[in-house]
Amino acid sequence: MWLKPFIVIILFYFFAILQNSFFTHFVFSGGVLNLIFILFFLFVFFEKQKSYYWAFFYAVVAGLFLDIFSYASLGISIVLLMAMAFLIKKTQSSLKEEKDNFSLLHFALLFLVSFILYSLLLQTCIFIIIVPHVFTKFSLGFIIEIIYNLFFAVLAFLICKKYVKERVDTKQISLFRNK
Amino acid sequence: MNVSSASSINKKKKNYLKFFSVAIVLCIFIFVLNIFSSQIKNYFYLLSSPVQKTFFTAGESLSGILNPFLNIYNLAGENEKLKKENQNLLSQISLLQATGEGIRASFDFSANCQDKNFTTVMASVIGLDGQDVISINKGSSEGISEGMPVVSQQGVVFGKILAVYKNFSKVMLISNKNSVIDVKIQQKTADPLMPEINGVVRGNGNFSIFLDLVQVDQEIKEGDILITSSLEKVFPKDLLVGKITKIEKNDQKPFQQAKIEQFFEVKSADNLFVITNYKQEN
Repeated sequence: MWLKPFIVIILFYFFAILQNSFFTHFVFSGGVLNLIFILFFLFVFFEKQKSYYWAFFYAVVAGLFLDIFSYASLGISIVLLMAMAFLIKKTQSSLKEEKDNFSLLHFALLFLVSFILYSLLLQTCIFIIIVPHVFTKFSLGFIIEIIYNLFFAVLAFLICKKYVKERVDTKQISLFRNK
Repeated sequence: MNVSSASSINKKKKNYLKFFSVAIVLCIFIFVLNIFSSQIKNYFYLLSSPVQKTFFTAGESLSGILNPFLNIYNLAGENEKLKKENQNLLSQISLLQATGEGIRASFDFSANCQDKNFTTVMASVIGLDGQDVISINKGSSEGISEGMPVVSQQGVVFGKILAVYKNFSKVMLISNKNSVIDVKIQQKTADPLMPEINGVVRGNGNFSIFLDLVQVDQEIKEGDILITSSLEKVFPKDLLVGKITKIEKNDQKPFQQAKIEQFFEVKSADNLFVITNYKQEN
């Protein structure tokens, strides 16, 4: 029971370190890779539908690490990611996707919307006093950042989907055998 | 009918109750986190600093290998060397123009610091935050405090200390959207009788900056160098900021703006210097 949260925390911590050290050298035209957000999104996306508790748990862990390794006050990313987790799960349930049939299009679109929304809201929260800054976020660097993150997210999605599919296939085979 | 409506009301009530209890717990959690914010951040830094340093070095090596492939026109190493040489030459020019001395052969920031009685703390970059903020491996235990200027060995302005923890600090780069610094424009063909042109350099996010608040009637050219003017008393004067690449002039606006090629580069910043006694000196 404790293994899953433990692994999740370790994974987020590892990705936070990686993002803040290794990927510092891979900034393209100001576009920074947000590995923690990608991992958070993948976890929430592949979590069972209506499994809000786990989605919120991912949001708390991811948000905490995002805040620790940034100069923002602790809690901003936690609240924002909780809102994102709620939105992702709600959208997924409204899309009425078949169980374990995750489409790349849904993933990419949801990721795009969530990432842009999260970045803009974070920007607003950090620079709350100077509102026009939100609008200056729309720059070439931001577009490059979106594409950069989307590329890695899609790559991770394809790997995860393969793993999820394999797991479902094994489950179905074992169920068939039990019959 | 009544029974079903009563049960749905009960369900709704339960949901609201759940939502409010989660919200209250979350608020308390965030409140407690913020009380111990600096200790938590410092603890995580101490815990992860050896691994972070290893990954940082690995990333540096890998980017060094990949850069020539990613950018075939510029061989990374040579480019870096040339940039540093260029910055050294620019600082020499700025110093010679500022002081009027023609015999000074070399300029080094550390030597300049000695001249001005500046005390510096050398630090390495250990991480990067997406909002134009970097982490350095020196903190309050080394005498660093908020607002102190951070520069490179070549005398290039990086930014100022934003937050200090016991063993590390966060540096707000001049490209951060909250950053505004006063600069003077050093023209290529400077006429000593011409009045000094001043302006401000604002952060534009994503490691870019722009020049603002230069009066329309003042003539600036592409290629002009921007140096700090120390009017705001945060940065010492005559430090390198950037070079004008494109002027944006509009007669309807009282001020002209310009795109700037910034001199600071986080990727290649080996060592940075925090000036610890500048504020006290002024």
